[in-house]
Amino acid sequence: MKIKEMIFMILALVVFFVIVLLFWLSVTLGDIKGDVAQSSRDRNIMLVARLADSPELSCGLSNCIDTDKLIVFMGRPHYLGFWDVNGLIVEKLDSANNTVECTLGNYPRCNTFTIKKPLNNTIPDSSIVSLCRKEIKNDISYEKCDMGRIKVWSKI
Amino acid sequence: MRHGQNKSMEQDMTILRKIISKTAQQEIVGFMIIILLVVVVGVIFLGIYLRQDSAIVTDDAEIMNFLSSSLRYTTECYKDYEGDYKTLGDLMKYCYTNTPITCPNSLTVCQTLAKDYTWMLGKLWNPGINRPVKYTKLSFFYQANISDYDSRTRFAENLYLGNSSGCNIVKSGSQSISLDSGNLMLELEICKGN
Repeated sequence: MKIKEMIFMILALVVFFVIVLLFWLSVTLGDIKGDVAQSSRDRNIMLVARLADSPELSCGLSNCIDTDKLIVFMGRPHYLGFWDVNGLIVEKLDSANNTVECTLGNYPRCNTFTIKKPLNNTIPDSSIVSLCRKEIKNDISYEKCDMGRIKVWSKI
Repeated sequence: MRHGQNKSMEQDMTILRKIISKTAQQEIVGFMIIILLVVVVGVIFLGIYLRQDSAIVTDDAEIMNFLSSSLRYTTECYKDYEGDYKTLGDLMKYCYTNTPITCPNSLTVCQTLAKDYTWMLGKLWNPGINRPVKYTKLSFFYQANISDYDSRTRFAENLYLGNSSGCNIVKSGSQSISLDSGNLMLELEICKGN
């Protein structure tokens, strides 16, 4: 009888600890999983934003690309290996529904700067940036800033 | 005679012990079934819980980048002469101080602010019922002290695009513009479905 009582006691203890363990795991692992996914996404966005802040692209402000620099870059193929990425595209947010590739001939009446054509069909990391350039109106020079998205296909 | 009675009692006791032992075994089996049920239910709950994404995220990097970039966006409104074009950040200040400036289609500063942000939010996230983003909500506040939420007052209408049905993950971020006295706050909340 004593052995049976002991078995009962051990089983009750096991059940108790299993319930406590499940509760603890569900609380901690649930939070950790969400935190890891969010921080990994934030890290990728920050990495992309850092690329936009590089002196070769930046307009001088944080999270801002100088499209006048960008268009010059596009005309120089030997700069393709400058960024160690699989693909790099900057898209301008405009009212047009179709893609108009930017060239020296049509700039700034275009909306897509393909600096490095992506090599594969993977989903890129992207970040929202300002796209600024110099404009002249009535002989007055001013900075015209649009909204854009920088997309980076990283090397795995 | 007494010997016979003793033997009979011993037999009864043996039968009784067997019955008790059998009942105890049945209880153990029942208990084990309950344990298994509890463990299975626990594992199912754990699985469901782990599949869910975290519900609320503040200071989301993409939203923060959007807000900071949007404040630099050059509008077609100008103050003194054509070419003196103002940014959305400037328009926020003019809207708060109710300063009249020239905007296309004879719109007021606050109307142009709302129009440009509505266009941007629609273009970038395109919220809707059958879309990944269910709604976007942009709010404009004046806050005397940046850490004092009780002092905030709304100076322009909230821009609410989409619908909250199917909303699971809320992400938000805010940006501030310093004034001589106090701050203007721009807050964006985006809700995504699973």
